[in-house]
Amino acid sequence: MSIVVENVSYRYAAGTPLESAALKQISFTIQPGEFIGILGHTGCGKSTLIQLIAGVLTPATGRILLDGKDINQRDFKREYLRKKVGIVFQFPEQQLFEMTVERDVSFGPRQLGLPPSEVQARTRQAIQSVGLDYETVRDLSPLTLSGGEKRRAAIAGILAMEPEILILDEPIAGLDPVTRKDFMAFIRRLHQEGKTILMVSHDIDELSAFSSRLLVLDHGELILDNTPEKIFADKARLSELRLGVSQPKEIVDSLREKGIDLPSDIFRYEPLLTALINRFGGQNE
Amino acid sequence: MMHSAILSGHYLPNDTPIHRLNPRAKIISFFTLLAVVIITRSTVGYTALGLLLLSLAHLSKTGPRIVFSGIRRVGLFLLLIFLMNALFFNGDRPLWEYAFFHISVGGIAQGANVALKVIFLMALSSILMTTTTPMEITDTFAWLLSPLQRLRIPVHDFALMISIAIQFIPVLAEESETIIKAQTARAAKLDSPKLREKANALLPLVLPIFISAFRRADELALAMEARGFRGGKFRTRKSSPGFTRLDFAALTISIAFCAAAVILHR
Ligand SMILES: Nc1ncnc2c1ncn2[C@@H]1O[C@H](COP(=O)(O)OP(=O)(O)O)[C@@H](O)[C@H]1O
Ligand SMILES: [Mg+2]
Repeated sequence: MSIVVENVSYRYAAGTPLESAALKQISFTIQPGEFIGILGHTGCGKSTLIQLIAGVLTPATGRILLDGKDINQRDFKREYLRKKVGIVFQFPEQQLFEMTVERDVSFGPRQLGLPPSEVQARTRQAIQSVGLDYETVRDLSPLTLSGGEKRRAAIAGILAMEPEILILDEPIAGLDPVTRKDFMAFIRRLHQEGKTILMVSHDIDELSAFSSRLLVLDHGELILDNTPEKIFADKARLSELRLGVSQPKEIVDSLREKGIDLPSDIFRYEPLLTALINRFGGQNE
Repeated sequence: MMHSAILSGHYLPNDTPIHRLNPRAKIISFFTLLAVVIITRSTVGYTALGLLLLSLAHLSKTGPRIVFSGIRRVGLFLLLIFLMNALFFNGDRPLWEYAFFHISVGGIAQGANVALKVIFLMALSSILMTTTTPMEITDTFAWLLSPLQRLRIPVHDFALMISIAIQFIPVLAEESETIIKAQTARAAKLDSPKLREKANALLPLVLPIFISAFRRADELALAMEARGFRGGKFRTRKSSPGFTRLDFAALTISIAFCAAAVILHR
């Protein structure tokens, strides 16, 4: 299940005085099993890009290929796209509408025309997998859940469609620090279970902790597309783009400046810890 | 497609004679032309009005695309108005009759007349809305209604209501668009040709939009109260720049149109 984005451009409000180019000539390929993080300043086009990939916007030029087939061709089956690619919008809790959590989570599978037993099994599994108790919440109105629970329920609604590629638009924005950690652990688990993840976030720490690849956008252009190691190596370039590096990388750099010799390509906490223990020796119990 | 929904009725900043008009002159002209639309019945009248609207669309750089974009959405409603009149209006020169259906030249003319009025009203409003900021519209409404204050009518509260409503249109439109996209991604069948499915598909859109509108209203009310709003103290900018030659020209043209319409259709 690969996705190829080929010379894609997009403009909002085309043909009016408000017309603006949101994306310019973007090309890259998403391989199965990748965890791709998308970074960039507000308004650089991150949300537009992922909405194009999910097929809810249509590119002005260029193509998006799912397994070699153009998703915007007339004869392309939309339902196939919905089954394969799931997208969690920013603040997904705003899309809840059914009377009960169970009904809401099962909306997607029902729309896909799955048999009732399958719908129920998937709904139950999706609700459990986001860390809600199925028996407790199934008959509650989604509107009575807390903010974090609402977001979980909304994400369950996408997971119940069992997409192979999961796209997330700032999934941890506006959550408290503890819930954020839980959420990131949850997303990592989904990745380990085999889902391809494409995630937009402002939080460079969280993003670099899990991503195997980072895309950096600026003013609608894809500026960098590389591993976090390579991208964090060029700090000057990042600050030009009004972006920083991860906290562990920051710590390594300042320690190196002070003359403490550590490998410069560290950007996650665990390798930093290991390197520090190697350098200074740990306490043996 | 989706975006045209947002743009009709959305202020488009620009520097054109229509944007530069004094909002008071513009809104008085607007109401005068509104009267013309209501009075007009003849082909000559509609042709003249149509030409005027097209030149306004051109002058204001709004462009016919946006001016008429709102009309596409009410296309079905217009067709219904036309058919109702064409089928049931008992006009002169009957062409075909069966039970209580009468198709007549008069009925067709009546149907076209009503449909054209709706189209012209919408086009006129969208030119006003795309060239005038919500603040200007509110201030002018408050100014126009201010004589009613003598009758103890809370004019300023009304003005504030209008202003909030207008300012929330783009916000709600944007939110609606996000919800449409999100539900599409959940495989909601919005473009199904079957009427039943179409009706069912509306629920996932309408409910979240209402919920979010109420939530916003609630938050706004709280925020206004927290900042000491007690009602009745909404202030408009009292002073408005004087009328220029452009404003007098606009008023003259619209009043001339109105006079011509009255004389023509007496
Ligand atoms: N619905 C819309 N109508 C018009 N312009 C939009 C709309 N959505 C986004 N834009 C514009 O497109 C650009 C990219 O937006 P977006 O993809 O939301 O950026 P990001 O998610 O990176 O913050 C921005 O300049 C934004 O103002
Ligand atoms: Mg965004």
